[in-house]
Amino acid sequence: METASFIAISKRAALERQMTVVSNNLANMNTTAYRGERMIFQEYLQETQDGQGGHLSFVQDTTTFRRDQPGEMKQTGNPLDVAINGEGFFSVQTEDGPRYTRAGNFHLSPDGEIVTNDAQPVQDTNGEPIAIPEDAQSIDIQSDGTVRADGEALGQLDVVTFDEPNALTRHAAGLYEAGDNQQPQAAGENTAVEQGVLEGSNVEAIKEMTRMMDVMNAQQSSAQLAQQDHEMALRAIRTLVQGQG
Amino acid sequence: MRSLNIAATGMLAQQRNIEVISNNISNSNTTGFKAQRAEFESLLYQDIRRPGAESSVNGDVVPSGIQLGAGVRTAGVSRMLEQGGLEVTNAPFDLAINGDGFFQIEMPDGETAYTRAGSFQLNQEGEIVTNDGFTVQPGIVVPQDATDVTINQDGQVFVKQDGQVAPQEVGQLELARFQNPNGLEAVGDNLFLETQASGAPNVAAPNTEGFGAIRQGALENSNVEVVNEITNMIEAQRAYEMNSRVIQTSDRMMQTLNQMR
Repeated sequence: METASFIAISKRAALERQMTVVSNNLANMNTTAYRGERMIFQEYLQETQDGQGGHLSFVQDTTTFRRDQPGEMKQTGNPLDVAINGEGFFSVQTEDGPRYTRAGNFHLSPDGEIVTNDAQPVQDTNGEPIAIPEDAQSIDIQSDGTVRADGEALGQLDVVTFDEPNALTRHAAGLYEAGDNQQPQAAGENTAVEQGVLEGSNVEAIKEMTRMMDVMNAQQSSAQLAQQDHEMALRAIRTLVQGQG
Repeated sequence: MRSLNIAATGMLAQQRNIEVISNNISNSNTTGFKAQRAEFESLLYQDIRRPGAESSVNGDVVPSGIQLGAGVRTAGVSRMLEQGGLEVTNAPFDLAINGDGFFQIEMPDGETAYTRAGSFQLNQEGEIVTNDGFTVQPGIVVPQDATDVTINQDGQVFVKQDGQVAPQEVGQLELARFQNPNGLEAVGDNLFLETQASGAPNVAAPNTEGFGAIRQGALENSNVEVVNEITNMIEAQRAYEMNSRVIQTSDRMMQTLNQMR
Protein backbone atom coordinates (compact mmCIF):
# COMPACT_ATOMS: atom_id res chain seq x y z
CA MET A 1 0.00 0.00 0.00
CA GLU A 2 2.75 2.43 0.95
CA THR A 3 4.94 1.40 -1.99
CA ALA A 4 4.53 4.63 -3.97
CA SER A 5 5.69 6.59 -0.93
CA PHE A 6 8.67 4.30 -0.47
CA ILE A 7 9.68 4.77 -4.07
CA ALA A 8 9.38 8.51 -3.63
CA ILE A 9 11.56 8.30 -0.52
CA SER A 10 14.23 6.28 -2.36
CA LYS A 11 14.29 9.04 -4.95
CA ARG A 12 14.52 11.80 -2.39
CA ALA A 13 17.45 10.19 -0.57
CA ALA A 14 19.28 9.91 -3.88
CA LEU A 15 18.45 13.50 -4.84
CA GLU A 16 19.76 14.83 -1.58
CA ARG A 17 23.09 13.18 -2.26
CA GLN A 18 23.08 14.52 -5.78
CA MET A 19 22.53 18.00 -4.41
CA THR A 20 25.58 17.43 -2.19
CA VAL A 21 27.66 16.53 -5.23
CA VAL A 22 26.41 19.55 -7.21
CA SER A 23 27.04 21.98 -4.36
CA ASN A 24 30.52 20.54 -3.79
CA ASN A 25 31.29 21.08 -7.48
CA LEU A 26 30.13 24.69 -7.31
CA ALA A 27 32.05 25.35 -4.09
CA ASN A 28 35.21 24.10 -5.83
CA MET A 29 34.76 26.17 -8.97
CA ASN A 30 38.09 27.92 -8.34
CA THR A 31 40.01 25.05 -6.76
CA THR A 32 43.24 24.20 -8.56
CA ALA A 33 42.92 21.05 -10.71
CA TYR A 34 39.58 20.12 -9.15
CA ARG A 35 37.63 17.52 -11.12
CA GLY A 36 33.86 17.83 -11.10
CA GLU A 37 31.78 14.84 -10.11
CA ARG A 38 28.50 13.40 -11.19
CA MET A 39 26.22 10.95 -9.54
CA ILE A 40 25.08 7.85 -11.40
CA PHE A 41 21.70 6.39 -10.54
CA GLN A 42 20.60 2.84 -11.03
CA GLU A 43 17.28 1.14 -10.98
CA TYR A 44 16.80 -1.24 -8.12
CA LEU A 45 14.11 -3.75 -9.02
CA GLN A 46 12.02 -5.62 -6.53
CA GLU A 47 9.42 -8.22 -7.39
CA THR A 48 5.88 -7.36 -6.49
CA GLN A 49 4.24 -9.41 -3.78
CA ASP A 50 1.35 -10.63 -5.90
CA GLY A 51 3.69 -13.11 -7.58
CA GLN A 52 2.66 -12.17 -11.09
CA GLY A 53 6.13 -11.22 -12.15
CA GLY A 54 5.67 -7.46 -11.88
CA HIS A 55 8.56 -5.31 -10.66
CA LEU A 56 8.79 -2.23 -8.52
CA SER A 57 11.50 0.13 -9.57
CA PHE A 58 13.34 1.95 -6.81
CA VAL A 59 16.20 4.30 -7.45
CA GLN A 60 19.66 3.84 -6.01
CA ASP A 61 22.72 6.01 -6.34
CA THR A 62 25.56 3.67 -7.20
CA THR A 63 28.60 5.77 -7.87
CA THR A 64 30.04 9.22 -7.98
CA PHE A 65 31.80 9.54 -11.28
CA ARG A 66 34.65 11.97 -11.88
CA ARG A 67 34.73 13.89 -15.12
CA ASP A 68 38.27 13.56 -16.35
CA GLN A 69 38.29 16.32 -18.93
CA PRO A 70 41.16 18.65 -18.10
CA GLY A 71 40.40 22.04 -16.58
CA GLU A 72 41.44 25.22 -18.33
CA MET A 73 45.13 26.08 -18.18
CA LYS A 74 45.83 29.42 -16.53
CA GLN A 75 49.10 31.23 -17.11
CA THR A 76 50.56 32.43 -13.79
CA GLY A 77 54.25 32.94 -14.59
CA ASN A 78 55.21 31.54 -11.18
CA PRO A 79 58.15 29.12 -11.67
CA LEU A 80 56.76 26.63 -9.15
CA ASP A 81 53.29 26.48 -10.70
CA VAL A 82 53.23 23.37 -12.86
CA ALA A 83 50.40 21.75 -14.76
CA ILE A 84 50.15 18.36 -16.40
CA ASN A 85 49.09 18.59 -20.02
CA GLY A 86 47.53 15.21 -20.73
CA GLU A 87 46.90 12.27 -18.45
CA GLY A 88 48.86 11.87 -15.25
CA PHE A 89 49.41 12.79 -11.63
CA PHE A 90 52.31 14.13 -9.58
CA SER A 91 53.48 11.81 -6.79
CA VAL A 92 53.46 13.25 -3.29
CA GLN A 93 54.85 11.77 -0.06
CA THR A 94 52.49 12.02 2.89
CA GLU A 95 52.45 10.58 6.38
CA ASP A 96 49.85 8.08 5.19
CA GLY A 97 51.89 6.85 2.23
CA PRO A 98 52.07 7.86 -1.40
CA ARG A 99 49.35 10.13 -2.78
CA TYR A 100 48.79 11.53 -6.26
CA THR A 101 47.64 14.97 -7.31
CA ARG A 102 47.20 17.15 -10.37
CA ALA A 103 47.31 20.37 -8.37
CA GLY A 104 50.75 21.72 -9.20
CA ASN A 105 50.79 24.90 -7.10
CA PHE A 106 54.02 23.96 -5.39
CA HIS A 107 56.18 25.89 -2.95
CA LEU A 108 59.61 25.59 -1.41
CA SER A 109 60.09 24.35 2.13
CA PRO A 110 62.60 26.10 4.43
CA ASP A 111 65.06 23.38 3.33
CA GLY A 112 64.47 24.20 -0.33
CA GLU A 113 62.46 21.07 -1.12
CA ILE A 114 59.57 21.29 -3.58
CA VAL A 115 56.42 20.76 -1.51
CA THR A 116 52.64 21.05 -1.88
CA ASN A 117 50.51 23.64 -0.15
CA ASP A 118 50.37 21.35 2.87
CA ALA A 119 54.17 20.94 2.99
CA GLN A 120 54.18 17.38 1.64
CA PRO A 121 57.29 16.73 -0.48
CA VAL A 122 56.80 16.13 -4.20
CA GLN A 123 58.69 13.03 -5.36
CA ASP A 124 61.12 12.59 -8.17
CA THR A 125 61.31 9.37 -10.21
CA ASN A 126 63.53 7.79 -7.53
CA GLY A 127 60.98 8.50 -4.82
CA GLU A 128 63.10 11.25 -3.28
CA PRO A 129 62.17 14.90 -2.67
CA ILE A 130 63.76 17.48 -4.98
CA ALA A 131 65.77 20.16 -3.17
CA ILE A 132 66.65 23.46 -4.84
CA PRO A 133 70.05 24.86 -3.75
CA GLU A 134 69.84 28.10 -1.81
CA ASP A 135 71.87 30.17 -4.25
CA ALA A 136 69.85 29.10 -7.30
CA GLN A 137 68.81 32.04 -9.44
CA SER A 138 66.37 30.35 -11.75
CA ILE A 139 64.26 27.20 -11.65
CA ASP A 140 63.36 25.56 -14.94
CA ILE A 141 61.01 22.64 -15.25
CA GLN A 142 61.07 20.91 -18.61
CA SER A 143 58.19 19.17 -20.31
CA ASP A 144 59.43 15.73 -19.20
CA GLY A 145 59.40 16.98 -15.59
CA THR A 146 63.15 17.49 -15.21
CA VAL A 147 63.81 20.24 -12.67
CA ARG A 148 66.87 22.37 -13.34
CA ALA A 149 68.32 25.09 -11.13
CA ASP A 150 70.67 27.40 -13.04
CA GLY A 151 70.85 24.77 -15.78
CA GLU A 152 71.87 21.90 -13.52
CA ALA A 153 69.46 18.95 -13.47
CA LEU A 154 68.31 18.10 -9.93
CA GLY A 155 65.76 15.38 -10.58
CA GLN A 156 62.71 14.49 -12.60
CA LEU A 157 59.21 15.01 -11.23
CA ASP A 158 57.49 11.63 -11.01
CA VAL A 159 54.45 11.85 -13.28
CA VAL A 160 52.38 8.67 -13.24
CA THR A 161 49.20 7.35 -14.81
CA PHE A 162 46.76 4.66 -13.78
CA ASP A 163 44.71 2.11 -15.72
CA GLU A 164 41.53 3.21 -14.03
CA PRO A 165 41.88 6.77 -12.73
CA ASN A 166 38.23 6.76 -11.71
CA ALA A 167 38.90 4.03 -9.16
CA LEU A 168 41.30 6.26 -7.19
CA THR A 169 40.03 7.28 -3.77
CA ARG A 170 39.68 11.00 -3.30
CA HIS A 171 41.11 12.75 -0.29
CA ALA A 172 41.07 16.34 0.87
CA ALA A 173 43.29 18.94 -0.82
CA GLY A 174 43.13 17.36 -4.27
CA LEU A 175 45.02 14.20 -3.28
CA TYR A 176 44.19 10.74 -4.60
CA GLU A 177 45.05 7.34 -3.18
CA ALA A 178 45.72 4.36 -5.42
CA GLY A 179 44.83 1.51 -3.04
CA ASP A 180 45.98 -2.08 -3.56
CA ASN A 181 44.23 -2.74 -6.84
CA GLN A 182 46.38 -0.68 -9.12
CA GLN A 183 49.97 0.40 -9.43
CA PRO A 184 51.23 3.71 -10.84
CA GLN A 185 52.99 3.58 -14.20
CA ALA A 186 55.29 6.18 -15.66
CA ALA A 187 53.33 8.57 -17.86
CA GLY A 188 53.54 8.14 -21.61
CA GLU A 189 54.80 10.49 -24.28
CA ASN A 190 51.52 12.34 -24.60
CA THR A 191 51.89 13.78 -21.12
CA ALA A 192 53.83 17.01 -20.78
CA VAL A 193 54.64 19.12 -17.73
CA GLU A 194 54.10 22.85 -18.24
CA GLN A 195 55.85 25.39 -16.07
CA GLY A 196 54.24 28.69 -15.05
CA VAL A 197 50.77 27.29 -15.67
CA LEU A 198 48.07 26.01 -13.33
CA GLU A 199 45.20 23.73 -14.21
CA GLY A 200 41.90 25.24 -13.16
CA SER A 201 38.82 23.43 -11.97
CA ASN A 202 36.94 21.58 -14.74
CA VAL A 203 33.53 22.39 -13.24
CA GLU A 204 31.16 23.80 -15.85
CA ALA A 205 29.08 26.27 -13.89
CA ILE A 206 26.16 26.41 -16.32
CA LYS A 207 25.73 22.64 -16.32
CA GLU A 208 25.92 22.51 -12.54
CA MET A 209 23.31 25.25 -12.22
CA THR A 210 20.89 23.48 -14.57
CA ARG A 211 21.55 20.21 -12.76
CA MET A 212 20.70 21.95 -9.53
CA MET A 213 17.37 23.16 -11.00
CA ASP A 214 16.70 19.58 -12.13
CA VAL A 215 17.36 18.26 -8.65
CA MET A 216 14.99 20.79 -7.14
CA ASN A 217 12.20 20.05 -9.61
CA ALA A 218 12.65 16.31 -9.23
CA GLN A 219 12.53 16.67 -5.48
CA GLN A 220 9.30 18.67 -5.69
CA SER A 221 7.70 16.15 -7.99
CA SER A 222 8.66 13.26 -5.73
CA ALA A 223 7.18 15.15 -2.80
CA GLN A 224 4.01 15.57 -4.85
CA LEU A 225 3.98 11.88 -5.66
CA ALA A 226 4.13 11.00 -1.97
CA GLN A 227 1.42 13.57 -1.26
CA GLN A 228 -0.89 12.17 -3.93
CA ASP A 229 -0.31 8.65 -2.69
CA HIS A 230 -1.23 9.82 0.79
CA GLU A 231 -4.42 11.53 -0.46
CA MET A 232 -5.35 8.48 -2.48
CA ALA A 233 -5.10 6.34 0.64
CA LEU A 234 -7.24 8.86 2.55
CA ARG A 235 -9.86 8.88 -0.21
CA ALA A 236 -9.92 5.10 -0.32
CA ILE A 237 -10.51 4.90 3.42
CA ARG A 238 -13.32 7.49 3.26
CA THR A 239 -15.02 5.77 0.31
CA LEU A 240 -14.78 2.39 1.99
CA VAL A 241 -16.16 3.73 5.28
CA GLN A 242 -19.04 5.47 3.46
CA GLY A 243 -19.77 2.29 1.48
CA GLN A 244 -20.07 0.34 4.72
CA GLY A 245 -22.45 2.86 6.27
CA MET B 1 21.30 18.99 4.24
CA ARG B 2 24.99 18.85 3.45
CA SER B 3 24.61 21.15 0.45
CA LEU B 4 23.82 24.14 2.71
CA ASN B 5 27.14 23.88 4.55
CA ILE B 6 29.06 23.07 1.39
CA ALA B 7 27.73 26.20 -0.34
CA ALA B 8 28.64 28.19 2.77
CA THR B 9 32.27 27.00 2.50
CA GLY B 10 32.17 28.04 -1.17
CA MET B 11 30.90 31.52 -0.31
CA LEU B 12 33.52 31.92 2.43
CA ALA B 13 36.29 30.90 0.04
CA GLN B 14 35.14 33.37 -2.61
CA GLN B 15 34.88 36.10 0.00
CA ARG B 16 38.52 35.43 0.96
CA ASN B 17 39.35 35.53 -2.75
CA ILE B 18 37.73 38.96 -3.15
CA GLU B 19 39.57 40.22 -0.07
CA VAL B 20 42.92 39.19 -1.53
CA ILE B 21 42.03 40.67 -4.94
CA SER B 22 40.90 43.98 -3.47
CA ASN B 23 44.11 44.22 -1.46
CA ASN B 24 46.08 43.63 -4.66
CA ILE B 25 44.14 46.31 -6.54
CA SER B 26 44.51 48.86 -3.77
CA ASN B 27 48.27 48.20 -3.76
CA SER B 28 48.68 48.41 -7.53
CA ASN B 29 50.77 51.56 -7.06
CA THR B 30 52.60 50.56 -3.89
CA THR B 31 56.39 50.48 -4.31
CA GLY B 32 57.80 46.94 -4.13
CA PHE B 33 54.39 45.34 -3.54
CA LYS B 34 54.03 41.70 -4.58
CA ALA B 35 50.61 40.49 -5.70
CA GLN B 36 49.00 37.74 -3.68
CA ARG B 37 46.86 34.81 -4.66
CA ALA B 38 44.37 32.86 -2.60
CA GLU B 39 44.77 29.13 -3.10
CA PHE B 40 41.89 26.75 -2.60
CA GLU B 41 41.71 23.05 -1.96
CA SER B 42 38.89 20.58 -1.60
CA LEU B 43 37.81 19.57 1.90
CA LEU B 44 37.68 15.98 3.10
CA TYR B 45 35.65 13.31 1.38
CA GLN B 46 33.12 11.08 3.03
CA ASP B 47 33.05 7.53 1.74
CA ILE B 48 29.47 6.37 1.36
CA ARG B 49 30.70 3.42 -0.63
CA ARG B 50 34.44 3.02 -0.96
CA PRO B 51 35.93 2.64 -4.43
CA GLY B 52 37.35 -0.86 -4.68
CA ALA B 53 34.77 -2.33 -2.32
CA GLU B 54 33.49 -5.75 -3.30
CA SER B 55 29.94 -5.72 -4.56
CA SER B 56 29.39 -9.49 -4.48
CA VAL B 57 30.86 -12.66 -3.00
CA ASN B 58 32.37 -13.39 -6.41
CA GLY B 59 34.82 -10.58 -5.78
CA ASP B 60 33.33 -8.07 -8.22
CA VAL B 61 34.78 -4.70 -7.43
CA VAL B 62 32.89 -1.41 -7.37
CA PRO B 63 34.67 0.66 -10.01
CA SER B 64 34.35 4.08 -8.45
CA GLY B 65 32.19 4.09 -5.32
CA ILE B 66 30.33 7.01 -3.80
CA GLN B 67 32.45 9.72 -2.30
CA LEU B 68 30.80 12.91 -1.16
CA GLY B 69 32.95 16.00 -0.78
CA ALA B 70 32.48 18.50 2.01
CA GLY B 71 33.29 21.73 0.20
CA VAL B 72 36.33 23.92 -0.17
CA ARG B 73 38.81 25.75 2.03
CA THR B 74 41.43 28.42 1.57
CA ALA B 75 44.71 26.55 1.80
CA GLY B 76 46.91 29.58 1.76
CA VAL B 77 47.59 32.98 0.33
CA SER B 78 50.83 32.92 -1.59
CA ARG B 79 52.83 35.78 -2.98
CA MET B 80 53.78 36.12 -6.64
CA LEU B 81 57.46 37.02 -6.52
CA GLU B 82 57.90 38.18 -10.09
CA GLN B 83 59.96 41.31 -10.52
CA GLY B 84 57.90 44.49 -10.69
CA GLY B 85 58.69 47.04 -13.39
CA LEU B 86 61.41 49.60 -12.65
CA GLU B 87 60.37 53.22 -12.69
CA VAL B 88 63.09 55.83 -13.05
CA THR B 89 62.72 58.65 -10.52
CA ASN B 90 66.31 60.01 -10.45
CA ALA B 91 66.05 60.63 -6.71
CA PRO B 92 69.45 59.67 -5.22
CA PHE B 93 68.04 57.52 -2.44
CA ASP B 94 65.42 55.70 -4.50
CA LEU B 95 66.89 52.22 -4.82
CA ALA B 96 65.42 49.33 -6.76
CA ILE B 97 66.58 45.72 -6.57
CA ASN B 98 66.84 44.18 -10.01
CA GLY B 99 66.73 40.49 -9.15
CA ASP B 100 66.42 38.57 -5.93
CA GLY B 101 66.87 39.92 -2.40
CA PHE B 102 65.53 42.25 0.28
CA PHE B 103 66.88 45.34 2.00
CA GLN B 104 67.37 44.86 5.74
CA ILE B 105 65.64 47.39 7.96
CA GLU B 106 66.26 47.81 11.68
CA MET B 107 62.92 48.12 13.46
CA PRO B 108 62.52 50.26 16.61
CA ASP B 109 62.38 47.07 18.73
CA GLY B 110 65.75 45.93 17.41
CA GLU B 111 64.33 43.23 15.14
CA THR B 112 65.32 43.09 11.48
CA ALA B 113 62.60 43.50 8.88
CA TYR B 114 62.98 42.98 5.14
CA THR B 115 61.64 45.06 2.28
CA ARG B 116 61.92 45.56 -1.45
CA ALA B 117 60.51 49.09 -1.31
CA GLY B 118 63.63 51.20 -1.70
CA SER B 119 62.23 54.72 -1.40
CA PHE B 120 64.76 55.83 1.19
CA GLN B 121 65.64 59.21 2.65
CA LEU B 122 68.17 60.75 5.00
CA ASN B 123 67.34 61.52 8.63
CA GLN B 124 68.63 64.48 10.64
CA GLU B 125 71.92 62.63 11.32
CA GLY B 126 72.48 61.86 7.65
CA GLU B 127 71.64 58.18 8.02
CA ILE B 128 69.83 56.34 5.21
CA VAL B 129 66.34 55.51 6.55
CA THR B 130 62.95 54.33 5.24
CA ASN B 131 59.88 56.56 4.84
CA ASP B 132 59.05 55.73 8.46
CA GLY B 133 62.52 56.71 9.70
CA PHE B 134 63.78 53.17 10.36
CA THR B 135 67.48 52.65 9.66
CA VAL B 136 68.51 50.75 6.55
CA GLN B 137 71.18 48.32 7.74
CA PRO B 138 74.12 48.55 8.12
CA GLY B 139 73.39 52.21 9.00
CA ILE B 140 75.26 54.21 6.41
CA VAL B 141 75.85 57.88 7.28
CA VAL B 142 76.19 60.39 4.48
CA PRO B 143 78.35 63.36 5.59
CA GLN B 144 76.63 66.72 5.71
CA ASP B 145 78.95 68.38 3.23
CA ALA B 146 78.49 65.70 0.57
CA THR B 147 77.57 67.19 -2.76
CA ASP B 148 76.89 64.02 -4.62
CA VAL B 149 75.91 60.49 -3.60
CA THR B 150 76.42 57.51 -5.89
CA ILE B 151 75.26 54.01 -5.09
CA ASN B 152 76.56 51.44 -7.53
CA GLN B 153 75.13 48.09 -8.60
CA ASP B 154 77.14 46.28 -5.94
CA GLY B 155 75.60 48.41 -3.18
CA GLN B 156 78.69 50.50 -2.44
CA VAL B 157 77.80 54.04 -1.37
CA PHE B 158 80.18 56.77 -2.56
CA VAL B 159 80.02 60.45 -1.67
CA LYS B 160 81.76 63.39 -3.20
CA GLN B 161 82.71 66.08 -0.74
CA ASP B 162 83.65 69.67 -1.40
CA GLY B 163 87.29 70.09 -2.25
CA GLN B 164 87.90 66.41 -2.95
CA VAL B 165 88.52 64.98 -6.37
CA ALA B 166 87.86 61.29 -5.82
CA PRO B 167 84.57 60.02 -4.43
CA GLN B 168 84.89 58.34 -1.06
CA GLU B 169 83.23 55.09 -0.03
CA VAL B 170 81.13 55.53 3.11
CA GLY B 171 79.46 52.13 3.29
CA GLN B 172 78.23 48.98 1.66
CA LEU B 173 74.54 48.00 1.46
CA GLU B 174 73.74 44.34 1.92
CA LEU B 175 70.81 42.28 0.75
CA ALA B 176 69.15 39.26 2.35
CA ARG B 177 67.77 36.26 0.49
CA PHE B 178 65.53 33.50 1.74
CA GLN B 179 65.20 29.90 0.67
CA ASN B 180 61.41 30.31 0.65
CA PRO B 181 60.54 34.03 0.36
CA ASN B 182 56.87 33.01 0.17
CA GLY B 183 57.10 32.04 3.83
CA LEU B 184 57.94 35.57 5.02
CA GLU B 185 55.39 37.24 7.26
CA ALA B 186 54.06 40.54 5.96
CA VAL B 187 53.70 43.11 8.74
CA GLY B 188 52.49 46.08 6.71
CA ASP B 189 54.42 49.17 5.60
CA ASN B 190 55.97 46.99 2.85
CA LEU B 191 57.93 45.14 5.53
CA PHE B 192 58.38 41.41 6.05
CA LEU B 193 59.66 39.37 8.98
CA GLU B 194 61.60 36.12 8.98
CA THR B 195 59.61 33.00 9.95
CA GLN B 196 60.35 29.32 10.30
CA ALA B 197 58.79 28.74 6.91
CA SER B 198 61.02 31.26 5.16
CA GLY B 199 64.26 29.84 6.56
CA ALA B 200 67.15 31.94 7.87
CA PRO B 201 68.33 34.94 5.83
CA ASN B 202 71.42 34.58 3.68
CA VAL B 203 73.14 37.97 3.63
CA ALA B 204 75.60 39.15 1.00
CA ALA B 205 76.52 42.13 -1.14
CA PRO B 206 74.23 42.91 -4.09
CA ASN B 207 75.15 41.67 -7.55
CA THR B 208 76.94 38.60 -6.19
CA GLU B 209 75.79 35.08 -7.03
CA GLY B 210 72.02 34.79 -6.73
CA PHE B 211 71.56 38.35 -5.48
CA GLY B 212 69.99 41.16 -7.47
CA ALA B 213 71.76 44.37 -8.45
CA ILE B 214 70.96 47.81 -7.03
CA ARG B 215 69.66 50.50 -9.37
CA GLN B 216 70.00 53.99 -8.01
CA GLY B 217 67.36 56.54 -9.00
CA ALA B 218 64.71 53.92 -9.71
CA LEU B 219 61.89 52.29 -7.78
CA GLU B 220 60.38 48.84 -8.21
CA ASN B 221 56.70 49.16 -9.01
CA SER B 222 54.02 46.89 -7.71
CA ASN B 223 53.81 43.67 -9.79
CA VAL B 224 50.00 43.67 -9.64
CA GLU B 225 48.43 43.39 -13.08
CA VAL B 226 45.15 45.19 -12.69
CA VAL B 227 43.53 43.59 -15.75
CA ASN B 228 44.16 40.12 -14.31
CA GLU B 229 42.83 41.19 -10.93
CA ILE B 230 39.62 42.54 -12.44
CA THR B 231 38.97 39.32 -14.39
CA ASN B 232 39.67 37.31 -11.23
CA MET B 233 37.26 39.55 -9.36
CA ILE B 234 34.49 38.95 -11.90
CA GLU B 235 35.08 35.19 -11.67
CA ALA B 236 35.04 35.30 -7.89
CA GLN B 237 31.86 37.36 -7.79
CA ARG B 238 30.02 34.97 -10.11
CA ALA B 239 31.21 31.97 -8.13
CA TYR B 240 29.97 33.68 -4.97
CA GLU B 241 26.55 34.25 -6.55
CA MET B 242 26.30 30.64 -7.70
CA ASN B 243 27.08 29.36 -4.24
CA SER B 244 24.40 31.61 -2.80
CA ARG B 245 21.96 30.13 -5.33
CA VAL B 246 22.85 26.68 -3.98
CA ILE B 247 21.86 27.88 -0.51
CA GLN B 248 18.54 29.23 -1.83
CA THR B 249 17.85 26.00 -3.68
CA SER B 250 18.67 23.86 -0.64
CA ASP B 251 16.36 26.07 1.38
CA ARG B 252 13.53 25.57 -1.09
CA MET B 253 14.11 21.83 -1.10
CA MET B 254 13.80 21.75 2.66
CA GLN B 255 10.68 23.88 2.41
CA THR B 256 9.16 21.28 0.07
CA LEU B 257 9.91 18.61 2.63
CA ASN B 258 8.37 20.64 5.43
CA GLN B 259 5.16 21.14 3.50
CA MET B 260 4.60 17.42 3.08
CA ARG B 261 2.01 15.71 5.18
